[in-house]
Amino acid sequence: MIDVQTLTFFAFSGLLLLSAGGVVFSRHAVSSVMFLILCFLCSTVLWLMLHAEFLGLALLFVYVGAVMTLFLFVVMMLNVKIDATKARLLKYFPFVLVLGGGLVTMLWLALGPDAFSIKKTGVLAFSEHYNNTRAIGEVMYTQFVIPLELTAGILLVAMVAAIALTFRGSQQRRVQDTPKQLMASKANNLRIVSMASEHEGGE
Amino acid sequence: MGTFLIANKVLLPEMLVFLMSLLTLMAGVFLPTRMRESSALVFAQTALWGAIALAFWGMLAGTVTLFSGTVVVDHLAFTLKVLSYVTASGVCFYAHAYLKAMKMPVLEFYVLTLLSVLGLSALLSANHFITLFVGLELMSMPLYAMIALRRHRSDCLEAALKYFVIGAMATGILLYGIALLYGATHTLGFPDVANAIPVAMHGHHLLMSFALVFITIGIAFKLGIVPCHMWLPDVYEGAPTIMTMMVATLAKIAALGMLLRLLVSVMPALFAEWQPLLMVLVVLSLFVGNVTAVKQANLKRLLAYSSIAQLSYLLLGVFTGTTAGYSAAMFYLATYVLTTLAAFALIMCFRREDGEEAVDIADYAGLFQHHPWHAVMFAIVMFSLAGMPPFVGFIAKLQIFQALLQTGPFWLVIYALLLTVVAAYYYIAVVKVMFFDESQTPLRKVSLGLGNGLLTLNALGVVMLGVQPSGLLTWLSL
Repeated sequence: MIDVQTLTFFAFSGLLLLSAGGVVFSRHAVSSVMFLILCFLCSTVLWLMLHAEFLGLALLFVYVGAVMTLFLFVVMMLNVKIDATKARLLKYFPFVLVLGGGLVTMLWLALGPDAFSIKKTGVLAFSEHYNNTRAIGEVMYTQFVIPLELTAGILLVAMVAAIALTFRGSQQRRVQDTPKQLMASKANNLRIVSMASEHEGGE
Repeated sequence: MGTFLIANKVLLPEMLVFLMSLLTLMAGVFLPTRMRESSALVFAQTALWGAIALAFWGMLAGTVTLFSGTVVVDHLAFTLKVLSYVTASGVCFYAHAYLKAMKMPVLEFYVLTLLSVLGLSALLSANHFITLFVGLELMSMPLYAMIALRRHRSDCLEAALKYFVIGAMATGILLYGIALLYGATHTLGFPDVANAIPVAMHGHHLLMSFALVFITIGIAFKLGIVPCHMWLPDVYEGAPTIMTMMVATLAKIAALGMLLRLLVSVMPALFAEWQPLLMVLVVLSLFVGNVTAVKQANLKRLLAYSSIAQLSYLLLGVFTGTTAGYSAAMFYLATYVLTTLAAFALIMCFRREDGEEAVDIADYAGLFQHHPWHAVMFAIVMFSLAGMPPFVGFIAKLQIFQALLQTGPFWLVIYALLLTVVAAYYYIAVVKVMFFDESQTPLRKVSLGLGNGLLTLNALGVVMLGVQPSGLLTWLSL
């Protein structure tokens, strides 16, 4: 007899795996993004089942709500054609299957399901006053404050790097480009059009 | 409160570096255009030399563990940190004129360098897997971006993308190893994991071996050791030379720091497992690195393959499993970094007729006739890399071999010595081209600004440390 928890877990983790496959294999970049959103939704459910409400909701609000919307917008704007890359992906797929499959089989044979001493437990039980958000906040700003600050550094790096790699100087300024002026030549700037000559004071 | 003060004192170098990187960023916004670039250099150098002074001051407190054991400042962290600050300072001096000549954004370069150094020093101070991982990411991310800073060049973009993809994969592998280790020991702090491993050995021996292999391979990717070396020559060749210099120095300091921290401090109980693993890596890298380097026509590719070989000597030091070996590896790293800085700075000095960087060995034919001092410096660097007396590379190799002779196996000593002879061949071949071949078209020498003086000091340092290594040797011994 399968209880509700087990059923929910398998349903959503199965859906998670399927939609993760969908991200990689879908024909359109936009549907890849949609599958990614489905991925996040499934992981939210899995996290909620572990009583990690804060992480689950942060994933839902921050990623699905904000980041993925922006991402979808960018993907639609770029209009990427991924058919060409798909062909190459398929060409290498056998190697991936052999290597990945080999690794997984080796892990399975060597370790087996009991290596991690996983025991099937029911729903985790916490006391009435347990607050997930508070618990995360407490370790994050005490024990893990240095990694937290470093993560802020990573975000700063991302911002600085993104601007440095894409900013090409102000495009709107009206300034003289001296080299361009000096390079000006008759051949480039003067167009001589042959046309019938006008008669002066004809009639 | 007392703990808080100690915390501040020990972590002051990192705080200064972070603060100065932000100041540099602000300098780009608020200072007048003509002052921006030079003030950025001043800020970067202030940060790095201030951090060195603060690190020495903080070290007076001895080994300190902070924030519930997520950060530790001990002798290993301290020496490697100081080494990385000095290296980064050298890179910044060499970079200044080069960045302008190559039309790369100068300010962003310094900001990203400082942030990368911040990540590196956090990684070296890590006493917890989370700190280690976040530090590693903060160190690597700026490097990926900085390679692409010369964005109008497709080879730079290719190198950046390759480095990024391989780096991401290596990080994934490392992370998977850490996850497996966590699965076996149920803890992530280094001392706790080290204590938990002998206990967990009984039930989860295979799991632990798997974790060890994944972690070691992850680090091997960062070091660029065979069989995880395929990215290295392409990245070295494609990246702007200043970035090649950085990848060849700062990233290697990080890799040795991780190796010593993880294998020696966290997993000493698994010594019987990681020693053969390192042996396979060393035997392969010594052969592939040295033999492939012989056929290279591009100087940067040659230095890439030679770095594979050089770093395998470093691994030999770790392989011995003795304190003498670890100290020898530390000394080897310091001298390798010093010599590599000079090697790439010398390449940055020369341009072909068409303004491209002179990267082919053939370009340097007859260098001695036109630029005798630079040719001599090249010779010093190459002889040192080959491990010839009286240069510092000789002392470094001597230390490694002494440590290895104590523990054996003897055949490995012979094997490494034989391949050192092969290495000598291709290093000397470069010197031969510079001194005795007829020059076709003379190379154009460009000034490195402040880097010119530093380059001379750097090359003389390679000689001086070879004659008088005892100070550095004592300081670096663990």
